[in-house]
Amino acid sequence: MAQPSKSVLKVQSESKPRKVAKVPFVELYNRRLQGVVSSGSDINRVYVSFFEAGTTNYYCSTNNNRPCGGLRGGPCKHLSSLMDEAVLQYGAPKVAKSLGIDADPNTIKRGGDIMRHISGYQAKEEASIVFSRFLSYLRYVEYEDTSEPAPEMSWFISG
Amino acid sequence: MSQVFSTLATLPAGYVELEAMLDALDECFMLGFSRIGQDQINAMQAIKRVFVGTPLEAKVAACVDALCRLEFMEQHFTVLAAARAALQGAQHDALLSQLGQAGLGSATEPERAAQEEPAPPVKAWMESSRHWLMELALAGFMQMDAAVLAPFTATLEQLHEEPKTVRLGMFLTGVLREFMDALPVGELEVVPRRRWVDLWTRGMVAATGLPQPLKTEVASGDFYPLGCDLRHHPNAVSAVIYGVYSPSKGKSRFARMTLNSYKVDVVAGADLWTAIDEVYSPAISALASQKVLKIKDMELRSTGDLIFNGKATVGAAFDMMALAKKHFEPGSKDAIEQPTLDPLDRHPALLAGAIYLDGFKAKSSGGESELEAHGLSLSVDMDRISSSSALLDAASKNAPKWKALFGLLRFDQGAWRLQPLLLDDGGKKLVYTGQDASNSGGKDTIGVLQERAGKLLRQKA
Repeated sequence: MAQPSKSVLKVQSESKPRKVAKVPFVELYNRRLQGVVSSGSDINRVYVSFFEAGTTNYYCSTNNNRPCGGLRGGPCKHLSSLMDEAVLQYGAPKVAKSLGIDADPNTIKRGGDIMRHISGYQAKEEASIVFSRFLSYLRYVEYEDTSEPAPEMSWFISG
Repeated sequence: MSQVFSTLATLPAGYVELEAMLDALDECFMLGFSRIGQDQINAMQAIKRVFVGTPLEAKVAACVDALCRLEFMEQHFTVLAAARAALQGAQHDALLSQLGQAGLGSATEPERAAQEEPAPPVKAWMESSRHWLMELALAGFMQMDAAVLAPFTATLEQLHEEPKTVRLGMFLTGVLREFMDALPVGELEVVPRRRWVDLWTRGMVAATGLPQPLKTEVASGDFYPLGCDLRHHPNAVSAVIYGVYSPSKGKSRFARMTLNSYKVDVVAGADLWTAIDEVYSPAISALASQKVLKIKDMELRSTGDLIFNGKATVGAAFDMMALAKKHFEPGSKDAIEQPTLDPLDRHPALLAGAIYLDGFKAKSSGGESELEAHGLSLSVDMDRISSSSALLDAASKNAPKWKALFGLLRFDQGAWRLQPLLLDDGGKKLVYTGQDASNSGGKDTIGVLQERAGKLLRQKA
């Protein structure tokens, strides 16, 4: 942004289209990359997964707190999918920076590039934390629309 | 071509001085009011002097003196916001007056209907919003962190649910999201200081009092859509369809229709329109297919805002550019009055002068375009055009080939700018935001999300 005193500015870089059926929810929040990933094998199951900034610790479990069987000494494929979708949503540089990964930006283009810097351990946590973030996220889809004038929305033209 | 806009090339008297005062005041918000130094005290004292002899004199004096003594109460921040908003409102009015003198007349002052007091729970959430904004101002934008931002989410959820605060919630959600996405502020190349203080000010004023009802009339007849101003942030989309209202009895008038919807961030780009409820389909369809919208018993406010009520059907096709020329060409014998804003909404960046232009000189370079029309140089404000719109690409190039356009005169960072809404760029079809809009069908993204939520709920049970 080269115009410090302009008031109407586009401030978000636009995200790329995502595979919402595969990863219904992904966010960078409170020093985490976290989200919800659909099971590849069972249409009735979803996984709740996260990476932690700094430590790059991670975890993946079903919503009933059953650990993901793919977590054998390293991140599972759900965590890889989460990373890929985070890169589509936020861009690779932002995801890497949010996780505290200090690497040459030229080497960080895709989810796989960031996964190489994940050196943390499994850090078990209750699934309900991320699950309730997902439900809050979904509420946005449910609110009723309005036809009220909103001139102040002219400040927002991105996202 | 007339030179009727040449007077706009000179800024209104006092504008530049006021800008310098606002810049100096805004530094308080960057540092945090808990950390102000002598320069900031001087800046606030200068603001206090401006209000001498005005109705706000005593309140502003008390507020400034208290803040200079590092006495922090919520009311001081509300008054400060009101003062800053009043100064920018004055700038807006000076610019509007210039437009009037250039022939783009307007400003019948909108009349108010009876006042309303918010109910107790709403009052509490608005107070909570003001409290959060005060905490932000104390900390300063340069020191902003997740600890001061994240707690506001709980109040926001309440604002979303309550019909009377949907508008406030929609705005503050965008603000919170932008601030959170900007962390850590220390690593930003450029901090958009003016923008952030404008957002803060607007939020504080809106959290102090609900919009008061304006006098309205009932509108029935034809609404001719001429273009769409599409605004959005990750959690909301707000489409404003500008056009002409032709009543069953009476003369044609300016009108615009706003369609607002909360959304999730993943609904973006071409999908933005799918966030809007199907009840609004006739309006979107009329815009996309260049047809008239037949309306019945819609509330029309004295600002020119039509409130969509679902009683609308799509009518016959019409020539959008010809109608725009008829009513919005400077000097037209069928010129219609310009839109106005509620006085509480007045800010230079929210000013919108509807205008049709042809016969202009134009050039494009490096993805930016500039026009010369009626004695004024106008750059196209690319920040106003959604990246989901075909207009963004069309307006960035080949300007010498453009034949005509309908758009909005805007003002930002000390200069008049143009936001095209409808463009004849010399190609086969007119280019405009909403040319391919559709909100029916294609709800896959939202359907998937709701289905996944359902599965999680069933598992828990």
